[in-house]
Amino acid sequence: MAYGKIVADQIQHSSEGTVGTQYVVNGSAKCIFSVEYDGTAINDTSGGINTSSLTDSGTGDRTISWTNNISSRTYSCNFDNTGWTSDVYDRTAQIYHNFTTDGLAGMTTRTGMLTSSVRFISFYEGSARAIYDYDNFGVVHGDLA
Amino acid sequence: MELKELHLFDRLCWAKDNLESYQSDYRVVFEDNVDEPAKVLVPDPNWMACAMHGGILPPVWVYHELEKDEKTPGFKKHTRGYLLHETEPMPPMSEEEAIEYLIMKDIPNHVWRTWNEGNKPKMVICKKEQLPQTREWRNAWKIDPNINSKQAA
Repeated sequence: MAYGKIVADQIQHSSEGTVGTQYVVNGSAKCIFSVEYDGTAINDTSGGINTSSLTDSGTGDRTISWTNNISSRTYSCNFDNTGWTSDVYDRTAQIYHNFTTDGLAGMTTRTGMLTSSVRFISFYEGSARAIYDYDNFGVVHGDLA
Repeated sequence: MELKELHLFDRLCWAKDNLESYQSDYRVVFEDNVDEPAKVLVPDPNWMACAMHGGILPPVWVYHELEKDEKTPGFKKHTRGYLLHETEPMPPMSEEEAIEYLIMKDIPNHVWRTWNEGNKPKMVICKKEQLPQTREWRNAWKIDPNINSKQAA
């Protein structure tokens, strides 16, 4: 079995110019994941990559661990948002942060964001906000360790 | 070029394209804080495929080294990421060996190192059908204090 490798510092389009491959490497998603609505499984989703496990810590309280760590604790993790028929209700997730122990959330102080995992809270926002079991689709951008 | 010579992320990309995902029925229930509900660790199916194929995942001590680095005061970013990519990868693991590896990787070590010390087991490996079948009272889930630790093992 062969595992090919192409080494190139630039990629050139026939008419649209050249881009350094570091932009491609650094700009690609480093993790894509989807959690089953009730938090009991990682779905085998299109493009899913770089997750080793899900920890279900309670209603809407989930942690995803990476196989290839991210280089620092300052990276971007985004979740999609789903409405419900004609109602504009949010069903999405946010990175967990403990304001009591860790103060204001900042670049290096998001409690749930480690280089090996991310803890997030799935929530529903209708007439009130509530922690809620729901499907979460997440994408991580950042540099790999 | 051999698989083990690739960057870990490239190995994962190769595995995604070439290996059949494996959905394990094993679950690991653990308690790392008495004031919080029991947590349930669920293996990723693509990760399981990598573990059982072999030649992809680094030894678990690599993750422990990186964790140590991250806990060092003043930590900014990893400088020993090469351990993930350049350490001889693990050989093929059985499903049970993969779960043991995952416990040591993704569960806090104060839980798995002392899982059977104290008044009751802090960690139990079970099959998913042994868990409550609904999410009702999810935030009140606890490991049964009367569980037989030999069963738990």
